[in-house]
Amino acid sequence: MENDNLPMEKVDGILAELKRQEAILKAESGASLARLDGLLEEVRVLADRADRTLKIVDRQAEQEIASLGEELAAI
Amino acid sequence: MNLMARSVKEKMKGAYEEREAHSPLVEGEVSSSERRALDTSMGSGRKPEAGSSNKDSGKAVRAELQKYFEGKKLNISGGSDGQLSRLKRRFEGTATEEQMAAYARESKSVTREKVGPLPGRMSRERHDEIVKRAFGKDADIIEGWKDLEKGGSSSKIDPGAYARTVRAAMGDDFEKTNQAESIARRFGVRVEELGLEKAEPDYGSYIDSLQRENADKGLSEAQVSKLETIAKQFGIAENGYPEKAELDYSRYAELIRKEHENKGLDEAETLESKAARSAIRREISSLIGPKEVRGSEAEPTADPLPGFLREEKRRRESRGIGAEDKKTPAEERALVGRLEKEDGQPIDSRSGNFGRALSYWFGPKAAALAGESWNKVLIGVMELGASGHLKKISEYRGKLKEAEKKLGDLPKWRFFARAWQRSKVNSLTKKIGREQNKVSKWESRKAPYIERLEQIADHMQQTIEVNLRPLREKLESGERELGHLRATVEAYRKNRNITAETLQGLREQKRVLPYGKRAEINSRIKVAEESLKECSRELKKIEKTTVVRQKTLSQLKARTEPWQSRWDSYKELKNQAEKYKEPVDPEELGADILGMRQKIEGAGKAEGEGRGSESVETRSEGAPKTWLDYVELWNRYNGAEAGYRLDEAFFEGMKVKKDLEIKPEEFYRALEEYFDAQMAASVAPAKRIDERQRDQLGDTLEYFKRIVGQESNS
Repeated sequence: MENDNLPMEKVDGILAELKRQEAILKAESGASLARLDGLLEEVRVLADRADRTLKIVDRQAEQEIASLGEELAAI
Repeated sequence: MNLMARSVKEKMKGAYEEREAHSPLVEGEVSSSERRALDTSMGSGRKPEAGSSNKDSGKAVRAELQKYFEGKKLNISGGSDGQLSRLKRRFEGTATEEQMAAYARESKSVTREKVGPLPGRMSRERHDEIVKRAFGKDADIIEGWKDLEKGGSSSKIDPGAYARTVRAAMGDDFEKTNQAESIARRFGVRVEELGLEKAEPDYGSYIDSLQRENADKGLSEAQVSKLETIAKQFGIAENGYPEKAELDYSRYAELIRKEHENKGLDEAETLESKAARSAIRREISSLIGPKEVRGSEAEPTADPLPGFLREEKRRRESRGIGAEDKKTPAEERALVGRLEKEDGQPIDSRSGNFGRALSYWFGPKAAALAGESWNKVLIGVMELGASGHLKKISEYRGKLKEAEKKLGDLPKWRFFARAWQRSKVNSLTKKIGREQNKVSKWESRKAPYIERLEQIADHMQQTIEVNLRPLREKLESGERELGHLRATVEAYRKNRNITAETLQGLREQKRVLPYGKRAEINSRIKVAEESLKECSRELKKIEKTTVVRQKTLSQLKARTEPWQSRWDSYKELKNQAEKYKEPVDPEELGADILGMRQKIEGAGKAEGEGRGSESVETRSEGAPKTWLDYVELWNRYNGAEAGYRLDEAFFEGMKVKKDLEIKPEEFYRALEEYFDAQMAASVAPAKRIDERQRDQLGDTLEYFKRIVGQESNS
């Protein structure tokens, strides 16, 4: 408080501004949280899909590599 | 029994001595005059006593005899009552034990089968069996005994006849032993008398006994040696007595060689060599018969005898003469000449059966070595083996080593070692070549496999990337959003702090206001307090949510790590495939080429040889330059040879500086001087070289010069 005799009108203005800022921040954090949750869900879906796909092709590749190794050794 | 047998023996000995003086009576037989005299002394012709019938007499005599022979394993159940009565009469009163036994032996009715084994008697069949068992296939050599028996009237053979047989077969030396009877005893003829359980003849023991006796009686060394020779020719080993007479080709070769060198072939037809040749001929016949012939080059013949012998056999058989008859020197020459004409090349005494033996052992090519010196035979055989398998070489080596032992100092083992090492090195070199070929083949065939490996790795890397890229993008967005959320929270916190400060200011102002004005500010304080409380609660909630989302984001990010790791693996696979494209070290394929090279080098060093390793890397240090270089090189190749190693004494003796550079000729000259000096000097025996070694040094030095040449070129 800049002086001891702050007019009440000014006090009311400060309190109103603080309240307004609070409302804005609350809305922003809520939106940000919602976006973050959306992204996390997308990541989860993508990770599951990558796991499924890569597990299959990786197994096939391993088998073929093993087979090639045997053939190479047999030369 | 023994007492009786001894008495009989004494009696027989007397008769034997007498008969020896009146040849041709066969030992052990009793002449008709002796028999009559014996009968008279025993009371032959006396009538039975009054009152005793033949039958009673027979029973009584049988009882007496049974009593007499009881415990002596004699069966007297045979014989007529009359004969037994006569026996009783002769026995009663006057007959002694000796007379009784002599009568039993001489009686034709109380046969050997009925009375049991009689001392000094043996059936012809039994004897044949013994002789056959003792001599095996060589029994024919003592065929002469049959001729001796032809003149005799008895169907049985006795020790004397046998002894003469042995003498005839074995030579005149046995006359001096005068041990016909003991010979017979050794052969089990009187085995019962000796108390042996089994009448098994033991030719080995026989030879042993003869040698012992000969030594005891002071026979000449030559005579003993002759006996030993005979034993060997009959396959009696020095330390054992094989059942089958084994052929000793080396011994045969030595005999022939000595005869050839010392006496000339024609005069060399001694009993021993003939017997040996005969045995060898039969052995070879059995060895190289049609079913046993090895290799396509082996001579296909149904008759195992060499050509000239076959022809001679036919010729002699047509004249009714045995093929094995001794040939006169003229016949021998004629036969050899005929063979030379047939084959178109010179044939000496060794190129016949010995050549066939070599052929049998080492293959047809080895037969050509038969006419060469023994050293050349050994080296030639080793070289033949070198083109075959190591195992075969090893067998050859063993056989030839054995032959070397028998031939004494004729072959020099150094040549063996050299040939052996050469063959070993050559074999290993070939093996290296094979391994290298294998690697080259592998190199040419591996390319498509490597390419496919690379393709797989590429594809997998791409697949992982494609799947992880959107995931990573979303994760990055999440990170950004989380950052924004954190910034909002921070702003929230600031707003709360401002609210708190405002509240504090209002409270302080309230304290300075007069009471009448305080109510106005109280309502603002209450609004601020509400606002602060709400702000704090909301902030706490958002902070907590932010932490949870941060954790979730980290967890989702962690799910990409395993695939990143796989991506790295495929990258490594690609690197390996790239390496496979380069020429592969054969060691990685299990081809121990380095090991084999080390073996080769080791082989060269082990024997102090290294001969034959010309095609192989033997050294990498470069050409020798200084005295020390030359000495080290010399020791590497020749140091294992006794007396050849050079040490400090060489430098001192030749007064040279080790690090002084020299030309090869200087070193060779110094070597010759040094070893000449060693021969002349009275140095310790272990270090002194002898004439024989000095001769060997010649070719050792020649070889060394070749090594030096190689070293200089490397």
